[in-house]
Amino acid sequence: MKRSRYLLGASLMSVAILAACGGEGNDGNNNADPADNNANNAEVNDADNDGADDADADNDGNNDEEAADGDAPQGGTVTYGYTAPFAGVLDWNFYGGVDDSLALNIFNGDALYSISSFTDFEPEPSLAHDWEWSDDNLTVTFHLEEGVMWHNGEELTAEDFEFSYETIAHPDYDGPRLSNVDRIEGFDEYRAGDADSLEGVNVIDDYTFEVTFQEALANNLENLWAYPTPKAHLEHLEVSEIEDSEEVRQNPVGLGAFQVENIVPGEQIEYTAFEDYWQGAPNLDGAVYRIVDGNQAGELVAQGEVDIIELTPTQALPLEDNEDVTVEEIEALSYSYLGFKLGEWNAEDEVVEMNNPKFESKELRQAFAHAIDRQGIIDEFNEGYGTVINAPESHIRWSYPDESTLNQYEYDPDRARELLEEAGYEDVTGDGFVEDPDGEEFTVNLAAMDTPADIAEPRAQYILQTLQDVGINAQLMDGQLLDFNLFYDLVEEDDENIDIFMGAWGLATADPDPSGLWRSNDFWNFPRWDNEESDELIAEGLSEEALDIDYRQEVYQEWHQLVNEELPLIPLNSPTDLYGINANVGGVTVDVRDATANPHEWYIDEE
Amino acid sequence: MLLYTLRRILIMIPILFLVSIVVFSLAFAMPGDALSGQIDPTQSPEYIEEMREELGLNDPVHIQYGRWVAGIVQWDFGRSVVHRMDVSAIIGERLPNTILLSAMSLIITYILAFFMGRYAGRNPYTKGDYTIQGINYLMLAIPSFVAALFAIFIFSFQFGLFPSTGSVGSGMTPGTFEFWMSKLYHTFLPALVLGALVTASYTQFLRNDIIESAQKDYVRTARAKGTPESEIYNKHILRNSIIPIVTLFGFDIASIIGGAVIIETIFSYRGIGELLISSIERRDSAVVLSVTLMLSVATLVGNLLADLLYGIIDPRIRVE
Amino acid sequence: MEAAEEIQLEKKAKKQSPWSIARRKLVRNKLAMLSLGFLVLVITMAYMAPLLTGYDPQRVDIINRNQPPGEGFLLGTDASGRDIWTLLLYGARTSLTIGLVCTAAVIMIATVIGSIAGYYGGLVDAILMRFTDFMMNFPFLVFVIVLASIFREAGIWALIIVLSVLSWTGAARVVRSKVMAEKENEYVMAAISIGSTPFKVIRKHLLPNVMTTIIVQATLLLAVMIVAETALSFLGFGVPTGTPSWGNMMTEARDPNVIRSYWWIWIPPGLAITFTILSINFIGEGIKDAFNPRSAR
Repeated sequence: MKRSRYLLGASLMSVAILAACGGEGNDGNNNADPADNNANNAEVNDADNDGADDADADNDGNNDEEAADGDAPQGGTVTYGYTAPFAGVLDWNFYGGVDDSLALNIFNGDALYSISSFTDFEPEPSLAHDWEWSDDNLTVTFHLEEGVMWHNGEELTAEDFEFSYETIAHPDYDGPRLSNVDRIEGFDEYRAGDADSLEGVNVIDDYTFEVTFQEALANNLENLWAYPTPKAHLEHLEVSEIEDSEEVRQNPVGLGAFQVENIVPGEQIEYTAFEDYWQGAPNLDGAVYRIVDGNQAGELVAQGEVDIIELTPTQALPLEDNEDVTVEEIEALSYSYLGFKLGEWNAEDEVVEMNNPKFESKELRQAFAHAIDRQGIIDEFNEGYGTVINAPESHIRWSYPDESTLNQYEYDPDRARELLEEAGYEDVTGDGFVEDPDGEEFTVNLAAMDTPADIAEPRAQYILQTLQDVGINAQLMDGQLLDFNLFYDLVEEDDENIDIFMGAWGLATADPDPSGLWRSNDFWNFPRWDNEESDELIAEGLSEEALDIDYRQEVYQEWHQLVNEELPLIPLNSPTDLYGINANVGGVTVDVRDATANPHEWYIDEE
Repeated sequence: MLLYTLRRILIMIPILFLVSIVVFSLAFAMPGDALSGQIDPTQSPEYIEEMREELGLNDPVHIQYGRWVAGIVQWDFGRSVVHRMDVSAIIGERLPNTILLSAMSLIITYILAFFMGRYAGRNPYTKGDYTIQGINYLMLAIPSFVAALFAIFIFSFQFGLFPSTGSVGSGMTPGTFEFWMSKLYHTFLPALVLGALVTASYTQFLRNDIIESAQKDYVRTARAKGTPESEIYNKHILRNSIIPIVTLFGFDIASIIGGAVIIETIFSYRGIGELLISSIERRDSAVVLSVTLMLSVATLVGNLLADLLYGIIDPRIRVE
Repeated sequence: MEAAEEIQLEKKAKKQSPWSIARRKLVRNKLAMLSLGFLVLVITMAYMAPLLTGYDPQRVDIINRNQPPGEGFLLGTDASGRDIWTLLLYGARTSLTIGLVCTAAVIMIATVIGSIAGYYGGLVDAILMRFTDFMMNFPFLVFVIVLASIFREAGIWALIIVLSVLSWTGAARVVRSKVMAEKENEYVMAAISIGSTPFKVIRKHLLPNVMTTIIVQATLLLAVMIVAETALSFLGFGVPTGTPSWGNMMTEARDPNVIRSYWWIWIPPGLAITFTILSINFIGEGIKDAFNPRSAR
């Protein structure tokens, strides 16, 4: 089946960098908020805006020809499975996690624009068919599609967007989306309760509105909240009541291809087709969002109990030969790594201080990289799903550097031993483990999380084993794995027992800017790596000149080469997300976050 | 009796108070809170600190405790950070499942114990009796989670008789007949494991009691009068032997609570026990707090019930 | 001289008699003896594990994952390529050690509290017993899980302490009532009246007579403790992952695919636990029987 490269759930558009558990967080232990509140500095997209009309036309054409209402079989119901109970906050302004965003995507997935892996992570028109910036780059004007209908029969208007902004910026709002509106002109006054409306949001007519920002920042568009809220449905409620209201939890209203029919809290949501969907009626009669036992995901999709579900590598492998199931893969926007603690956070000056001499030696760090069997880890603990990476970036994105310019750090114990020797680490005492250049005992504590439950322990053990094989006396910190919370608490406070640590980062969908994780004044720079050149390159990547994407790519190329050489952390792999899809179900788009995009194109082909 | 009951209930009040303190301090001692898992570079550490402040997580212990107790008195158990719902609503959703599971397992226990105990008591020191004793020993020895895994392996995977997971089939509309049938169907296997394992003590009790009663005078008299053997057993002996068993009911509540936590987790059965485990894993302290308190109170009530029932059966106990 | 020796011997024989009767009875109890043999075998094998297997219980072997029982791996391997037989041996060591240490700790706590309460009676007894009652009101498993999750990072010792602190109540009650009953005996009264210290009275006169009860309690507890450890580890709140234990071996069976397809991973530890508990129970029954003067055997 051909995959459509069209719309993607707008929840993808600006997903924050987040800590994941290596992308296999199916166990519900991952408390990191995978939601989209992004403040990364992104490139300015003026260049694209000029061509927005063309892109729009292209896309519509694309849509018509591939979704092809007439061609695809009609009728039937598709069940989308997820493995943790959903909270049931079915409103974009208030929802918390993937559990609810999946449900939302099915009945209310469209936003002003969309960003996806199929559009090279650049904004594509959606509810707004066009937008343009003022000359001072402070004000953006959106032009909405006409005739977009809410499920309650109202038409989508600019006021529904204004309502979103005023809800989130409202003094009583306590959800997690503030950072998506706090750059709007007049935010502070409105939030403080000193103003009755948001000064920076201006509704011009039903289909046009403009947003003015306090400052002209590079990624104002990507950062701006893009979901409308059904004003007519919710305006009679106080902001503080919305999250718990029946209007949100029992009869939510959206504008997607399906409308909510019935909700069994925490267990399932049934949807029926919404014939007036602005992009054409869906192929299906309905859809179901169902919570299932994560351990059984593979069997359930094989039995046809669910039609679309994310799988773990162990579940996906046996299904590869199953005729009833198609296993779709997509590179995840995340990577796991082994970090060195090079220093600590100076909270007073809010900078990192690279003051730990233990891993000063670059050769030593590189020796670690050669000692670790990164491909082996993927093969054995992820059933081969995943890609070894040499840069902290997803290799499907344009910003991933040219692999041939990077040190490959292939698994090579002999090379590791050589590097150790070069760095002055030799086994003086004859106990099989090297001593440091001063002849002192050299032991290394590895801190690792206990998730995902089934592979975390053997994986950590395997890394220790390979390190021990080249003579590095590596041990598990405190002899055991750490709980997710505790792990990050200790890593954040630079616990002195941590020498190396195994973590994972999710990457922002919107933009590859490394700020936030890599600069010398970033709290989340966990290795505490302080490098002037790196700071300069990161800044350069956001500069005016970097509006030219080729130049920007060059800058990041250079930055990645620096990281690859200095190796403050060893990127391990970029995992592969896996989806099991019933072979009879077509039109499903699997993207970097989920497979809920364009549900109106889903269809069932019984043959 | 009434006085005794009243006294026992009055004693409960200070005990409840102490229990609440213990439970609260446990939840308080749990490392991390739901916010400490927010590893999000776009949220500054200050923002998270602010949220903590707002949620009152930085207040002194006694103030937090006072707030919690005041809430409970008004039936407000706090709010789950993970589920983004009131805790009372979540528990309300899960509790019926656990009650169904417990009730069903109790019924299974009683039925099994009744038939096995009656048979063994009427035919003591026979092959059948020894077989039943052997089964009893095995039931006592096998840990519930091991039994559950074997049950899943045999009944779900080898024979495909029962589902191995979940509390209800998918796609059911609550309230319909199919819905309830599906619920029962899903509950049967976990209830069987939970119920069968505690059968042993009942069976043994019933068996010994029947053997003992069979020697008693009134039974001999009945037999001398020519009453049919089956009537002797069913009418005279059984009736007397069953009454003491009832007293065990209170203790069952406590043992079922422990068992349910394990069984529900293995079967992914959406009840209170599974809720407790998943909430501990996710550091959802408001839920952990409420569920632990609830289960403690249930145990307390179970013990009280056991004492009271025992007092009814054996009046001497009241004099203590 | 000879006569004196005779008397000495006779005295000795008389003094030992209840114990030797019990021992004789126990030895004649085939089931208990068989169980004892099994348990001794398991313990011996557990502590001689390195002699019985060439594999390292922790080393990951990525080439030999999920191997069915057969050549090279007597009972197969788990998902990390660890030899099941090896894990079983080392796991027995962990599980049995925890069980034994907990039992010892619990018996100590229970004996101290029980005998103090039973000996002094009155206010001391009232306070200690109210405290015991109070502790009994907590659902054991729930509290063990909550406490274990709090102290999870502190390792095995924390687990042992948590288990011990929460399970002494029943045994303490039994010891108390037994001590109370024994205290009424004339020889105890006599000892008290000649001014023996309470400690001496308890140790010399009361405890030996309570010993049988304590031993029976200990066997019951050992079984309970082993089950508690394995169940906790199975749920992920027990022994740290990576430390071989019977419960940890079974955690893999939380994945239904393992239950179905890799039965050799979870059935051996499951059977090991069950048979160990079974044999402990039989031994306990045997001891109880042996000390019961009314029992026929």
